[in-house]
Amino acid sequence: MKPFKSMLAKRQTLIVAASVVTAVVLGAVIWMVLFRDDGPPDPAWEKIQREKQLVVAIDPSYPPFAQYGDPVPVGIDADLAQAIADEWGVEVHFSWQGYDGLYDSLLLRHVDIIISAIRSDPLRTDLIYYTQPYLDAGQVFVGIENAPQDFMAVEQDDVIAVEFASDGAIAAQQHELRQVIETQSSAEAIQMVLDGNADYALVDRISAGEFANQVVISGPVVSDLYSIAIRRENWRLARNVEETLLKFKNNGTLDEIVTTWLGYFPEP
Amino acid sequence: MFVLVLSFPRPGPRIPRAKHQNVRLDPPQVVQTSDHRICVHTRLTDEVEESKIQQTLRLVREMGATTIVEFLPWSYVEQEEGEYHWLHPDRIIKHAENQGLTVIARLGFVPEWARDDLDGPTSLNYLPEDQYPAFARYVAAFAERYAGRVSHIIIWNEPNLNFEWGGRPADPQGYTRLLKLAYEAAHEANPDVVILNAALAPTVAPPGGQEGGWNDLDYLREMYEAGAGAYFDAVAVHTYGFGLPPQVEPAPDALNFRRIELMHDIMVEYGDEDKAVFLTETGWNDHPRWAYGVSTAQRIAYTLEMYEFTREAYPWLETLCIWAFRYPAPTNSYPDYYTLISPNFDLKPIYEALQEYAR
Repeated sequence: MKPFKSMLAKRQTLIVAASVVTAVVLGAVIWMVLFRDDGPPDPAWEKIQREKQLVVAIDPSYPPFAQYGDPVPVGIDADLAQAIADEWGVEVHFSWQGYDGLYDSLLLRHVDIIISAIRSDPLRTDLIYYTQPYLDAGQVFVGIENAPQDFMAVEQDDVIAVEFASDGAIAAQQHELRQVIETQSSAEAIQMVLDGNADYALVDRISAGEFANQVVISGPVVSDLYSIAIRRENWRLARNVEETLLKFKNNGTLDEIVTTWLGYFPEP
Repeated sequence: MFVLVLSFPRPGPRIPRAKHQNVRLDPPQVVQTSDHRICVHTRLTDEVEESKIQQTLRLVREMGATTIVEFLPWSYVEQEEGEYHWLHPDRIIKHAENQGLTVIARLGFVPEWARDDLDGPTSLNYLPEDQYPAFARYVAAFAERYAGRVSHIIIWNEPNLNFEWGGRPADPQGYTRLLKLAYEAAHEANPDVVILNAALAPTVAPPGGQEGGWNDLDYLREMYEAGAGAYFDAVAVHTYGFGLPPQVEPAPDALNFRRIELMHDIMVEYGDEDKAVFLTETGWNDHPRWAYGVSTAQRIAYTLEMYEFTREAYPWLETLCIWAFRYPAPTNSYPDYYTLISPNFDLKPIYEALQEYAR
């Protein structure tokens, strides 16, 4: 009986040991999957680190986000690209593109990211990762003493000035605003408010910014969110951009960049 | 049992498969217009639903346009080498004919099998030179299939942009070699076909393609010097208003509508004054913030003025095609403000103004 007991004890010990080893291996695998800062290689991020250069596609025909400058484009997008590069301790190189060339230059790996006032496009998300928005340039109400924060707050007899055929005019029609005056430009719509000929203007946030010191501007009532585009395979680059954007939102860097170009920082 | 019941053949109406949508043709239509030069560049390339193709072309006709330019990609038709699937162009051409519209076909976009000579990614515009004959075969197959129905074919698009070369520097000599092969193959397949060169993008970028493009005036000269003049029967041109009225004086270092005159001058210089000119992309953009945008009212005024003043001033101009009639889906950026109607078929004021002009 003794040898049998001894064998049994040995087997139990082996089972316990095997269980412990299995648990350790399993735990390590789970930890690696969930927490390890590793994954497939990200050549774009490695190249940026190695060459100390971030290559950014930008369309310099879209002020105040980007416009021609010598030797580099200037505007919100150009400054944001520069700030990200500074944060990472690398140089920024701009690849000047027309709108048609932005995505091709990214997918052909001629550039690392696109920062060019682009909106997330659902048809491209199989290949493109869009970051959290860095700005909402959508439609806002503009008034003298106050501005409605949504369409429900507009009174029936409020007179709303909009630019003819603009997104604001379309939104006013969709929300069945009754007293709408159409003008030739967003600036004229805001001028109608300043002259007392309309209660509010419904215009894009960028146009509103030009009058920021004279009027009250609402939050966006129709969104137009701009993001940074990255190739989906470049997960580490995407994560670093996201972290940097979040840092810029928290430490006031984004606020400073936008205020420089818009004259005010639109509150969310 | 349930499965058996469902799968057992039963009498009753046959449900058409998605790829053979049965959209009923309208009674044959005729365009009513006061200006036969009105043309639009449709953008039905990625329009999947046949009913939307039909509705788009119906609205083109109702606006008073006689002609469309449509992009019919090689990559969609010949996905496997040597196997042509004509379903999409067949649909577009069938409905265009039904609406009484003339089709100018623009061919381009390279199938994956024809651009696999690189390890890295390539764009749909990347065509290796050893595949030029394959593209020419597609052009010939197209010219033969649609003989008598589509008489005008544009070879490629804006080859003075690196973007249209798949990210490589623009190459006028290379483009001329491509044009020659396509021209000869198309004429062999259909002697009556009219081949148009790829219209060039208006740009003042320096020659050489080092800054993403190549000045269109210089590029056209380079093409003529390379012998391209023998390989197009008519000339396609792109010119835009770029925020300025159509009457603004042209200059080599300025981008405006009348740049087309400088292109025509070069044609004359090389003895091509008898060739017809097709303005296959033009127009103004009314995005409120784009650097080259105009207001909606200006866009309407400039567009109508363009049609009016070119009537007498440019007797050599066959059509003026506005970019673009409608996109199947929004770009969510300023290019959306080039269109005449929205993806949801909402008519923009510019559409209604053109319709009024054409009455």
